[in-house]
Amino acid sequence: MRSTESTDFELFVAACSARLLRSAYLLTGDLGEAEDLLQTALEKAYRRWARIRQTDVPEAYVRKMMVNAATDSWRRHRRPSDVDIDDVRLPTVLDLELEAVPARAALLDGVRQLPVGQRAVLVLRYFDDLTEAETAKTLGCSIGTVKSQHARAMSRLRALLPAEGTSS
Amino acid sequence: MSGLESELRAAFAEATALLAPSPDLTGRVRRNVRRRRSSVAVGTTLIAAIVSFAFVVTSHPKNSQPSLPSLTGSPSPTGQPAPTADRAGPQVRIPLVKGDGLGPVAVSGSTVYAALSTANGNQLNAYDRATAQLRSSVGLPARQAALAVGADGSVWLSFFPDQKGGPSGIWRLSPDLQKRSTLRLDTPERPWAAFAVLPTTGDEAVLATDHGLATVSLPAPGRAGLSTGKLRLDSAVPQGATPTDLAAFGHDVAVFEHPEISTLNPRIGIDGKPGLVYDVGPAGHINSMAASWVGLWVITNSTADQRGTLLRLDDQLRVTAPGPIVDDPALGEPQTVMASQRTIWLTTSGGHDRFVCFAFDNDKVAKGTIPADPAGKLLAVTPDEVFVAETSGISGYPVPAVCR
Repeated sequence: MRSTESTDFELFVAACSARLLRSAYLLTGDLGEAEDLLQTALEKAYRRWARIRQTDVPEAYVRKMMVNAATDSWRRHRRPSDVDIDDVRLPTVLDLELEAVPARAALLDGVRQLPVGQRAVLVLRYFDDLTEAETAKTLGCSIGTVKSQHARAMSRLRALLPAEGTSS
Repeated sequence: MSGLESELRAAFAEATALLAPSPDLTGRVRRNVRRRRSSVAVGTTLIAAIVSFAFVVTSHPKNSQPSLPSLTGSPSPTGQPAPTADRAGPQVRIPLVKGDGLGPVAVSGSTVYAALSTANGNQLNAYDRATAQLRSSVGLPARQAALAVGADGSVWLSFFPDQKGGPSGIWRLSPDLQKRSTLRLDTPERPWAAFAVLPTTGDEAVLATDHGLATVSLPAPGRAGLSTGKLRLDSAVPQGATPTDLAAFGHDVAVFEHPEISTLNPRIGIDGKPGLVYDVGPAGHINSMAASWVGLWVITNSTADQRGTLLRLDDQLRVTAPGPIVDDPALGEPQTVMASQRTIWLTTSGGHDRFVCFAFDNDKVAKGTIPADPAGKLLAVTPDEVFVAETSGISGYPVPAVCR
């Protein structure tokens, strides 16, 4: 790697690593795993930096690698707390106007219980502020999939949280 | 935007506000990339050498049945492979001052936390895992007892007085040790000494105290909120027993209990499930406990000859130790056990390798070891690194590939 590329990479890490670490933490729910995830993605990026730095948004490129790695990691080491969407009965009626705002700690616990794909959609949409199209590009899926994953995630959150949003 | 969406944004921002990457992140990335490149180069050279060697041997007319050198160590007398020695030295060595007492150690992400008793008092230090540099330090009001890191990176530490006095309490500190929330454990309603702490969910942790199991709730460090603590009346710990160690075992909390009557044996229970108990009976006692993804591992010692045996318990605390583990002489005489994900670490005695690891997968056991000081003590294990107390300080060795 040339010295200009090396300096460029250093500046990129200084500018973006905090934001990426926070995304990784929200994806994994564990700081240690998040640091490993970020470091692995940055190592891949470092090897291909000459090409990645030519893109408009290297951060998006690295974030995509990180999200993919998180999904792969989750598939390899599936933990008991991971719940399949198919196992959960979704509420059929949701009254968005009446929904109560749950406590944030309970909300985060609810997010951690979501399947990683749904969790990734929420993190990319509400932490990284990506549009549906950008989220789809990052996840390598269609906008329709993002919409359906988003709807399921929000429904799951309401279903997981105690009574709120479904009380009459 | 719905209330739930705006709450999600706020909750995400709040939960991550204190997180910061390691200052040496770029350096670690570069070093790892270089190390992998050199490993690939060495591996390629090795493979080429083996292929060349095999070609020379097989093409020699006097050697119609050549035997290639083993790359995984020679077999033990029982025919089982001996532990694979990973000759890699420590990746990091945190120097300690002679005379300082080393308390509990915990590792999280890029940080090694170590509680020390020094001439200047008790303190908790945070070191960079890659460079061994001291990042931050905080003085403690009494001698440290237990240390653990929660999933959010906050550091839980309990302390209670020793002969030098001091208060009893528990702290929850930010990863950089700069902020903390506290709960006193020497009040009339909570006269407890906490021997072990296990962060569970959100702001809560389970404590093993001299009065039984307790649940404490401390707000995130630096945030306003009420710290609370109460004894667990539904716990598995019976009257007359004291919990001394805890392990997250699947969705449960495994509890190591010591009876107050010395003639009774220690046992293992599950918090909230009084019917589940593992007790080795009068023929021996339990010495050590660790939870992994594939079971709860315990070391029992025979009363007759004090010989240690490694056992695996399932989620009903039934012994499910497969023969290859129990009968494997390469595991020596196990003394203590630690585990991380699917890697199990043992310290052994009796002339065997002092530190032995294995990855347990479908009853196949591949063993490894590290070239650590035989007089050392196992401190903490992570999926990729094992930390040992040696005379020179705290050493972090890479986990051998066969054990991952």
